Amino acid sequence: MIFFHTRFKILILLWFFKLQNLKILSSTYEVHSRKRHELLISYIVPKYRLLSNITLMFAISAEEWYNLLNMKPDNDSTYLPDRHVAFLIHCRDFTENYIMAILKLCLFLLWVVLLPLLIGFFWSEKSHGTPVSLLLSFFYGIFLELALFEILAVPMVFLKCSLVQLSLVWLILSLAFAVFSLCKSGPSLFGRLKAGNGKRFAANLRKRVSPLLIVVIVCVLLQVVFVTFSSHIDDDDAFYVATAVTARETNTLMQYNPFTGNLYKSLPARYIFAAWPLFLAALSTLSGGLHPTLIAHLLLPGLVLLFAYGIYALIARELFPGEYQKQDLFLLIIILVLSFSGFSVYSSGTFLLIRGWQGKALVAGITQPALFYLCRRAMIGRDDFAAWFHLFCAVTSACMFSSMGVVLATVPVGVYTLIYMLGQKRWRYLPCAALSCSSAIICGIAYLLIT
Amino acid sequence: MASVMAEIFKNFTWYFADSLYPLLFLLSLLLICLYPGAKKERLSLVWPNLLFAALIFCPVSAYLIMKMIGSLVYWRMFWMLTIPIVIAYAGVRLITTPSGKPVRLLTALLAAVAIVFSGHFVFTGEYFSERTNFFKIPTEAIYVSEAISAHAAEQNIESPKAAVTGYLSVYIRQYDAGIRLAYGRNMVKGDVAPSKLYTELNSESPNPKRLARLARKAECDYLVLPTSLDLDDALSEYSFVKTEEAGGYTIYYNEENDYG
Repeated sequence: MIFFHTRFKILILLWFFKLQNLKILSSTYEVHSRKRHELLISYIVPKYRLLSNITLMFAISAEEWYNLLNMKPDNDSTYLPDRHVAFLIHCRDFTENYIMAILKLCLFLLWVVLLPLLIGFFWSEKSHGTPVSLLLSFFYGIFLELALFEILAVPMVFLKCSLVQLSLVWLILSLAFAVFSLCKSGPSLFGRLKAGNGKRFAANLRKRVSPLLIVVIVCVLLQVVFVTFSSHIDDDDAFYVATAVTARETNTLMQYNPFTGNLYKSLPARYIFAAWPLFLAALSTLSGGLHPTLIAHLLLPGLVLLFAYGIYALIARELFPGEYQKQDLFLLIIILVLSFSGFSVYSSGTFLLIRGWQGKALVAGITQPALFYLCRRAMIGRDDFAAWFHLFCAVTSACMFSSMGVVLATVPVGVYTLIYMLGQKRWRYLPCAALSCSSAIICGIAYLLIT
Repeated sequence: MASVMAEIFKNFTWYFADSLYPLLFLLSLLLICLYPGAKKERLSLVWPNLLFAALIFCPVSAYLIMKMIGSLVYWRMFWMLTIPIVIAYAGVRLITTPSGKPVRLLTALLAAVAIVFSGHFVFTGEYFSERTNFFKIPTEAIYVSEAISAHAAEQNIESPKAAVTGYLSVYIRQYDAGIRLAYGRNMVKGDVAPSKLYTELNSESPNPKRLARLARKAECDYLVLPTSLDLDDALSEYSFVKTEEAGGYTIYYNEENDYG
C-alpha cells in the first residue's frame, strides 16, 4: 500500500511534466518511516487520497524530497539508481520554481483583478439604472485603487518613505475598501443569488451569447495572446521600467536616477507626480517579488488590452442599452479600428496595442474612453454619484499614468461638461466637474510652481 | 501665428500619416448628425469632438498648450478625439438601418473594407518581433547583467558600476538595477552632452589606455565591450582583466578597484 502511494505520487509528478520514460516507475523503493504516517493518513481517508497525495507532493520541501528518494535500502528492497534520483531532483527544482511562479502570478492577479472586483461591487450597486455587473464593478474598483495609490504616493515621495511602506499602506486601505464593499453589498448580492438570481443570471448569459459575441471574444483573446507572447522593445522603458526596478532594488521612491543608479540631487520635477512606475514596483513587492519588468512586459499588455475592451463594452452598453447585437457589432468595429490604427507610431490605438504597459499608453487607450463613459453616465439623464466619484478617480489615475494626464484629463472633462451643461441646461455640472478635476488642477499648479 | 499653424499641421501629419482615418472620422460625424433619433449621441459624440478639433486647430489655444507641454508632443492632443467610438457608432447605425439581411451584410462588408484600407495593420513585424526571453529585452543584456552580478558577488562588491556600450546601457538596469552605470539612455539619445568616456567607449576603435583611464576616473568596476574588438591583452596592461564573455560582449574587471 505504501509503495502504491509513493509510486502514485511519482506517477503524478512525471505525468504532470509530460515525461515519456515511465521505466523509472518499474523500480520500487522503500519509504522512510517518518513519512509513513502521512501516507497512512492519506490512505485511511480514501476520499481525499488523490488530493492529499498531490498536496503532500507539493508540500514536501526540496530537502525532504531528496532525503525521501535517496534513502539507503533495507536488505530486501531496492532503491532508485542515482541518475533517476538526479532526474527527479531536477523535476523537483522545476516544480519548486514552477510553483513559486504560479503563486506569485496568483498574488498579482489577486491585487489587480480580484481586489478591484470586490471594491467595485458597492459602487456598481449604487450606480443608478444599471444592474450590478462584474465589468462595471471591476471598472469602478480599479480606478479607485489607482487613484488611492496616486493620493498616497505623491506625499510619500516627498516624505522619502520606503516602497514597502507605500505598498503596505495602499494594500491595507484597499483591503479596507474591499471589506467595506463586501459588508455593504455582500448581503444583498448573496440574497439575490439565494433567491434564484443565479439561475436567472445563467439563463440571461445563455441568451446573451451569440455568434457575433463569440467572434468578438475570439478576436480579443487572439490579440491578448499576441501582445503577451510577442515582443515590442521600447527605449522609453530605460526610464519608466528602470524606475520601477530601481525602486524595488533600493526600496525607495524616486530617490535614485534610473539611468545610472546614482542618488538624485533633487527630485525629478517632471515625473514626480506620475507614480505609475512606483505602482509597478508596489505590485512587484506585493506579489512575492515578481520582477517589475516581467509585470510590465509580460503581464500588463494583455491585461490592459482586456481592460480597454471592457471599457468599450461598457460604452456599447451605454449607447445601445438592451440591444445586444448592436453592442457586439460596435465592439467588432472597435476591434477593427484599433487593429488598423498602425498608420503611425503616435496614434492612440498603436500606443495601446504595442506599449500597453506604459503610462502614456494608458492615458491614450484607457483614460480617454473611460472619461467619455463616465461623463456621459454622470451628466446625461441621471444623477449618478458613483459616476461623479469615479470621474474624480479616473482623472486622478490619469495624473498617475503620465504628467500629460493633467492636460489630457482636464480638457476632455471640461469640454464634456460645457457641452452637456449647455445641451441640458444644468449649471450644477460645473462645480461637480471642477471637483472631479481637483486632483489634476492641484498637480498642474504644483508642476508650474516646481518648474 | 504662421509658425503655430505650421506646427499644428506638422503634428497632424505625424499623427495620421497617410491614412484616411480623418476622412472616415468626418464622414462618421456627418452620419451621426444626419441620423434621426440620435440626439443624445450628437450631444456626446459630435459636439465634443468638434470642440476638441477646434481647440487643437485654433492657433491661440494651440499656442498656450504648446507652451505648457512643448510642441514636440503636441500630437498627443489628438488622443482626445474619440475616433474609434465615433466610427464604431456610425458603423453600427449604417449597418443596422437597412431592413434586409443581404443589404446589411453588404454594408458591413463595405464598412470593414473602408476601415481596413483607410488604416494600417498593427500586428506586423513593423511593430512586433519574436520574444527571445520573458523580460522582452535583448538577451545579451541579461547575460551581461548576470555575469557582472555574479562576479561582483564573488569580489564582495555591493553596488558594482559598469561602463557599457550605448546599446546595452538602455536595457541593463531594466533587468538588474543593482548595477550602476556610468551613463544612461539620456546620453545615448543626446538629451545630455556626451561624456569623454561615452565617446571613447562607443567609438569604432577605442584607445585602451585612454579608455582605462577614463573608466577609472569614473570609478567604474567593469568595462563591457563587444568581443569583436578583441582588446583583452591591451586592456589587461591597464589593469582591466577579462572575466567572462557573455552575449557577444566581453566583461573586463578593474583590478585596481579601490573606490571604497
